[in-house]
Amino acid sequence: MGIRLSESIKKVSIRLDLKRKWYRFSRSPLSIVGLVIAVSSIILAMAAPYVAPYPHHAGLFTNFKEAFQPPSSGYPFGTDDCGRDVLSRTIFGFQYSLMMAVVVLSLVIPPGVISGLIAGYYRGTWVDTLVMRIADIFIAVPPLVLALAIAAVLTPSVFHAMMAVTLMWWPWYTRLTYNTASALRNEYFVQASEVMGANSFHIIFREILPCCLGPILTKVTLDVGWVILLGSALSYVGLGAQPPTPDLGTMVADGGKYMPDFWWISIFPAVAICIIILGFNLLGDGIRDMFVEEAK
Amino acid sequence: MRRQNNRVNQLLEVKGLYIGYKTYIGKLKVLNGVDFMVHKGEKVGVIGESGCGKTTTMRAILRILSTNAVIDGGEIHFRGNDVLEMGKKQLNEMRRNNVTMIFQDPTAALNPVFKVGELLADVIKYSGKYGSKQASKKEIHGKSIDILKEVALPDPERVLDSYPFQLSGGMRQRICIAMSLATAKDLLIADEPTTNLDVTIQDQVLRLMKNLVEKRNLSVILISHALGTVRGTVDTVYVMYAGNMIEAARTEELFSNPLHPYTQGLLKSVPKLTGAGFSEGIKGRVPDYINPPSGCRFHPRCDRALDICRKEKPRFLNIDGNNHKVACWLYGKK
Repeated sequence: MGIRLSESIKKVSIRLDLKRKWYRFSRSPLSIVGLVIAVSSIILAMAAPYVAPYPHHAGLFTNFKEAFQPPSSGYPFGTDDCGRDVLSRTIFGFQYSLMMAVVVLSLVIPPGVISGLIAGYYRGTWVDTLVMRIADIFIAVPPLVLALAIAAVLTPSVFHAMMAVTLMWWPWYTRLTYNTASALRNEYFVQASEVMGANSFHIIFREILPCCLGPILTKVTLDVGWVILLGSALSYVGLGAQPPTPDLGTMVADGGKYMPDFWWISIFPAVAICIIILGFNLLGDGIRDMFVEEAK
Repeated sequence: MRRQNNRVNQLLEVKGLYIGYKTYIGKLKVLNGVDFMVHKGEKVGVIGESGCGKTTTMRAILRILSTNAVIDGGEIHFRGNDVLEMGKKQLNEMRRNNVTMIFQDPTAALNPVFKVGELLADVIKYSGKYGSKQASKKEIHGKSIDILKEVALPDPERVLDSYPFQLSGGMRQRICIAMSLATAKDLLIADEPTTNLDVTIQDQVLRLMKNLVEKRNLSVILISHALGTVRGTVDTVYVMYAGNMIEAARTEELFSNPLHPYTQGLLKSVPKLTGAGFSEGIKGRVPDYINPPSGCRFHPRCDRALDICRKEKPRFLNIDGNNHKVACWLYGKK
């Protein structure tokens, strides 16, 4: 009977934990809105070729007969100066924006987190100084200037825009992880594992890193929005994706020439940018609430 | 011949340890030549006020001092090897297999993001005590349960599946003890292991520790403020004041015949159930470590201070044949 009781408690405790996390997240309706927006934009981006009414309008395509059509039942978001459907191009724009975020963040997180962990673990030594000062140097360069420099030396393209964003973004992860790790470094449980003879690798990756994951995950979610914004900004000034790539920033820039008469060309992609960023920010806030409660 | 025998028996010896902390306002000269010794199977208690350097000494033994600590001199010999000279590998070897420590605060000594079972699995995997690293999950699970049963935790299955914050303070401290004893073979350092627990749990935890230690014939260093705890648990007591060991004796001897004025004051400051009125206490407080008093560091608070106390530091000497050591000018000349 004792065994059965403990078995049932065990099952309950695991479920309780997930349930509690979800409860904390779902307490705020805005987090749910964020989650819905984030998930649906990801689905939309992946299913773009099937969802978009005119998938071929995303590439090289011109139909000047249909140019500058206002929103109608045939073209819900209207058409642009080359007669391409704005709705289709906006849906494909999600692909580029999210790809930008995924590529940049997956390039940024490993070096940022690892350097931050190492600097935090060796706080107060020369390792700390070296890593953090290098991070400071990268933070000191404004991203647009860096992107301009890279575009001037190489050619403006999506790849080079990603490179520029990556180069300026990793130090923020270094700083975040550094702060968390250096505070954790003096916790008793870290010292306890040190006392038990754990090596530095174990302490950094098995003791400190798991405790840093909450803030990192929150920052990642919030950053998706910011990276998309920066990517769109770079495209807007002509340093990112080049026409005819359906990038949201490029589309806003192209339509700018025809404002305010043909407003739909710029406004719909701009609204799409706003919605994606808003969605990921709300999601990030929800995830933060989930972990902040946990930390108490 | 007898001396040699003593040598063989001795596990840990700290000789003339000086440690300071660098701060913005200057250097805190905390440890001022600490001497003490632990024999195999001996239970040693260290008592003293807060801030007298007890924890600093213990941290020095395991080399987990904070980064602003400076070791100004002294030796720590563990089984004949100088701990302060050890390389990283040797040090980890010692920490894994020989010496361990239980911390003051059991709520902070367990990683909050892992379940108890995962924490124990790590210890078992790395200790080497339970065979090679390839121990299967089932074996580890079985051993974890054995360990938890050993520290008298009820329902070990459930405990293994709980996060530390789901358990009470006493349970957590027992898990800490279990984890420490899963690895240690020679010496257990318990730094006020019961400070944050309530009195009934304190008693349980101390009894448990005592039983386990006696079963495995471990040496123990128990740090405590509670004189009663020390009296009931250890064989030898060291009294520490402002970075010095000032008196050491067998437990009964020290409590019945304290020699140093500080020890006498310390024992008088314990409230008695039978006695009337307030206990006496010692006037003043632990000195400022940036400019510590010259000579004997206790002289500004001492009623019986002599001239020489201000000038010269008394040596820590055996004053009778019975291993009763005291560092005070009142007993014995140079």
